[in-house]
This record gives sequence, structure tokens and C-alpha cells, in this order.
Amino acid sequence: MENNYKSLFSEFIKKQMVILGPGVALSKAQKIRGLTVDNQGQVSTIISDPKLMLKKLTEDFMEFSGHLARESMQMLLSDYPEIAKEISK
Amino acid sequence: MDTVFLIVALTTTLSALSAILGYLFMRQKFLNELAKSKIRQEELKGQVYETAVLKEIGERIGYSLDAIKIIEIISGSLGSLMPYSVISRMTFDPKYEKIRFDCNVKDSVSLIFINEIKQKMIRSISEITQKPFFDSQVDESIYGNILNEQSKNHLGSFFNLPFIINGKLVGLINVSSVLENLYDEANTAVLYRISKQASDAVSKLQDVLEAEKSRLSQAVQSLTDGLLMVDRDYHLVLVNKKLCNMLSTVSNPSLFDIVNALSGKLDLRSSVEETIASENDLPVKEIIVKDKVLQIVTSKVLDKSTQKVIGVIVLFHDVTDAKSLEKLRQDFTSMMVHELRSPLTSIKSTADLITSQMEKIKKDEISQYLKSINSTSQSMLELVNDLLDVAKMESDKFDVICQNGDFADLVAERVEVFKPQVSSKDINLTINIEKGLPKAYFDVVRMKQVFNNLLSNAIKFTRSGEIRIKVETEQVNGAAVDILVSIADSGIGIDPEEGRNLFSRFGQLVRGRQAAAFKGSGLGLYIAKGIVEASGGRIWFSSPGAGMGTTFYFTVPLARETHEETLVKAVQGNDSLVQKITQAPKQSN
Repeated sequence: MENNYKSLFSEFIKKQMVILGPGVALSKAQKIRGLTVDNQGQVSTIISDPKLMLKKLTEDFMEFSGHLARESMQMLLSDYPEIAKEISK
Repeated sequence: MDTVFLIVALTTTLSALSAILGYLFMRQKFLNELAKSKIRQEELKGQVYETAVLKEIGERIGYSLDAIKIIEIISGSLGSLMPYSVISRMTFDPKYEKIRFDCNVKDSVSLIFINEIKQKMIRSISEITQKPFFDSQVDESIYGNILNEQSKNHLGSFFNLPFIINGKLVGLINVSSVLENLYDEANTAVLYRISKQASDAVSKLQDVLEAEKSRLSQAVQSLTDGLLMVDRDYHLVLVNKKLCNMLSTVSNPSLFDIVNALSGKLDLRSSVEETIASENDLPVKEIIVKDKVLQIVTSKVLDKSTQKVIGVIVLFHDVTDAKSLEKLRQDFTSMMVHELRSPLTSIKSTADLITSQMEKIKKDEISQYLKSINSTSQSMLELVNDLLDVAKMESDKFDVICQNGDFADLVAERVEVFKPQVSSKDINLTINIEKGLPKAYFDVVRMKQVFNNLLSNAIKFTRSGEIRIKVETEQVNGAAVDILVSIADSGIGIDPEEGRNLFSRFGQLVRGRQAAAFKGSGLGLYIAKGIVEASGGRIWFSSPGAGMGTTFYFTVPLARETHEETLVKAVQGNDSLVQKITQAPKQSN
């Protein structure tokens, strides 16, 4: 399950890199405590509760791209039904 | 000695060390303060920039929804905030069919550099909209510094700033530099904040305008007149439901549908053009469409700031009923003139005859002529009284003076008066007055007028058959609430169409014509209704249809004391009765 989260987060960050540009998106993602993100936007470790990290990641990017970040995450979640089910609980 | 020396050396060393440490500590503290100050300075610079840009947006945009202008302001202000080589923006038409790419070149870069920016922006837009975009959709405009095709610089770093209004991407700003790693979250945060604030403000304004638009649209839709608006280029801007009904078009018609429905009646295009060209209001036109008389009023719509014509509103006012009423009024006036002229002519002729033939006419003949004059002038007086009553009713000066009395006596007395008329026709008159009928509260003179009118009508419109008069208490839940009088005849009856306006001022005009043999103002029922209602009663009728007889009903309030007692009793019995008693009298048929 953790790998799923890593994959979801990585995809999300990479999308934000395309939307906002790599410098801004990466620095934003790398600043989030509890996540380790390399320079390609790949998430290698999630230290905290992944559900909380998902919320934090989305909210932090919403500061920059508003509802686009939320929509991006929602769209990606359709490819991760297990996570979607878990966070809906 | 050695020990002393050692102590001195140690002390000196410690002092020096503490001095060095103190220096280092102070230096570090100074550096920290300097760094903090630099951060504060940067923050302050960001705040000043943010305030200045938002102020400029506020001043230049005001209450408009020009998102493109906001994007221009933000992109134009960036130079004072951060280093860059090129600032670009992409904006779209509402359907995202075309992209406008404006590129402001500061450092001399190559076209390859510009193309790299363009590709990055197209990718961003495609990702945001989840729709593929291609170079062919882009109209580009490059300005600023001259491009240098010899430049080997590639895109070192960039960031994109999307501008979104109510969830829809309206533009994208790109800031690019030949230098690498120039932009990060910290130094761009202020721009995203500005973009978010401006887009929130415009979104809210758009919501407010949409709400206003919706309210206005509802108001237009609920108008009782038909309305349409076209712009200067003769495009339909709005049309309300009422006009669709008036013209029997589809519910969401095109301008062609409307023009088609008005074909041969109104040249809409010419009317619009005339209105735009004319300095004054055009005269009201009148057309007949689908059996309806419509008045057409056109007026210009002006732009508030420039006062230039931006469109024309065409109002369709249905005056069919007013026209019918006007015709009725004219017919009524003609009828009244005729009704007054005939007896006057008769009186004058008789008077002339008496005057010219005075010596030849016998005494008993003169007496007969005078009786005829008296009877004719009495009819005229009644007619004039009716007209006066109507005039009083319409100016709210019609009074009834009610007192407790026996309504059964009034009915019995009136019936006696009418008996000769009844017996002259083949009519069987029956009267049924409830035994022990409670006293009523009424104006004797006026109620006689009501009863006279209803009974004389019954006699008038019944060639042969029967007339049944019934007077009883009306009861609700066993409690008497008022006195109910009914006069039923087996006469010509009333068809539903005619019955609709029977109690109106001109309602009896048609009926009066049908019974042309009978004289009268035709105002009787209108006056009767006024009297009954002013007395606190109700009046209505029922008829199975033409030729099948009619029954008129009216109620008279119970005498004051009885009425109050009954009310108390009724209130105890059933709450809903209070409502019935206190309700305004209603007409029923």
C-alpha cells in the first residue's frame, strides 16, 4: 500500500511540475516534512501517515494552483481505488 | 615561580580565548541579524509588490471581469520583482480554439529559446485542461529585445502562473530565464498569492454578476408583457417566455422564428434600425397577431459610460382586453344615450301633442297622456339613479345604512308588488320562507333594490315556467351564520362565457341585448353586488347553461345581537368558521 501512495504522490508532483514548472513544484514538494522527493519528482520515502501526507500535499499545492491541485489529485485517485477507498473512510 | 607563571599564562590564554569566543559569538549574532534583516527586507519587498500589483489591478480593472487585463498587469509588473529573460503569457478564446501567445523578450535570446517556452506552456495548458493543444492553434506576438539567433542559451529555469476564474483556466503567465535554478517556491510565492487573490476577486464578482443576471432574467421572464432585446448587429440578446406565448413560437426561439411570426405585421429589423437612428422615442405601433392586439414600444439601450447605443428593446404590450373594454364602454354609452333619448322623445312628443292640440283633446285623454309622461319619466329616473349608484360605487362613496330588521317581511312585501307582473305571464311563483327566520342586519331601501333587481330579472328572462323564492338561514356545523336568499327561475339561463362577467359593469350588455324587448341600464347586477357586499354578504349564481334556468343567491348578515351570539357559538364549535365569517365576501358561480 505504501508503494501505491509513493506512486500516487510521485505522479501528482510530476503533474504539478508540468503545470507550475519544475523549480517551483519541486521546491514546494521537497519542503513538505515527512516526504523525501528527488529532483525528478519521485517520492522515495513517506515517513508520516500517508493519508495525512496526501491531504498535506494537496493543500500545500492548492496554495499555488488552487483547485487545480485538488482536481489533479482527484483525477489520479481514480487510478488508485484502494487509496480512494481508504481516504473516504 | 613556575606555578605563578603558569597561572598567569593560563589566565591570559583564557582571557584571549574568551575574547575570541565573544568576538565569534557577536559576529555570528550580527550575521544572524543581518540574515533576518535580509529576509524581512525580502518579505517587505514582496508585500510592497503584492500591495502595488493588487492596487493596480483594482484601479485598472475596477468592477469589470477583464481577466486578460489582470494577466497583462501581473506579467507587466514582474520586472521589479525578480530577474528574468522572457515573460510570456497565453490567453484563450472562450472555447479554447485559439491561443494568443505574447512574448516580452528582455534578454536577447534565440527563437529556439522562445519555442522551448511555448512548448512548456502548451504542455502546462494541456495538463490543466486535459485537452491536447497544438502549435497550429497558437497566434504569437514577440516583442521587446531583438532575438539573437546566434545565442546558444537554452531555457535554464522557468515557472508558470495559471490564472483561473471560477474553475476555468483563462490564461497562463510564464517567467523564464537563461540561468538555471532561479525560481523556487520561496521567491515566487507572492505571485501565486496575487494571482489567487485576483482570481478569487474576479470569480466572486462574476458570481455576483451572474446572480444579478439571473435575477434580471427572472424579472424579464415574469413580465406580463412580451419583450425582446437585440444588439446593434441585430443579434437576439434575450427574449422572454411571454413573447413566445404571444407569438406562439417555440420556447427558445431564434430571431428568425420571431421575425417569421411577425411576418406581414411588423418589420422588426426596420423598427430596430429606426429606433437606433432616431433621437426621440418612436410612436407606439399597434399590430394584430393571433387575434391579439399588441402595442409595440421600442427603446434604445445605452452603454452607461459611453452613452452609445448598444442595443434595442422591443416591448409587446397586449391591449386586447383594454380594446374590448373600450368597445364595451362605447357600446354602453350608445345604449345609455338610446335609453335616455327614447323616453325623452316620447315625453317631448306627448308634451308637444298636448300643447298643440290642447283645445281638441278631451280631459280624460290628457290625464292618460300625463300618466304616460309620468311613467316614462319614472323609467328615466330609475336609469339615472342606476348611473348615479354606479358612479358612487366607483368613487367609493356608496354607503349602506344597515339596521336590524325582518328580512322575511321585505321579501313578502316585494313579492306582492311583483305579483301583477308575474300573473301577466305564464309563470308559477312559489315562495318558501323559513319559519322563525332570525332577524337580519341590512339597509331596507338598498336590499329592496337588490331583491327587485333579481326578481324582475327572473320575470324578465322567463317567458313561462316557474320562479321559486327561498329564504332560509345558512348554517355551518349546525350554527346559523347568515340568511340565504335564492331566486330560481326556469328562464333563458346563462352560458358560462357570459356568466364570467355577469356582475361586472358592462357584464349585462350582451344579456340585455338578447332581451332587447326589456328596458334597463344593464347595471342592475353590478349594483346589486355592490350593495350585498357593502352589507357584508355574498352574491353569486348558478346556471346549468343557456335555456336551462338560473338561480341567484345572496346572503344577508344576521341581526347584530344574533350575529354575535352565533359567532361565539360557531367559534366554539369549529375554528375554521371564524375564518369563513371574517373572510371578505366571495363571489361564486
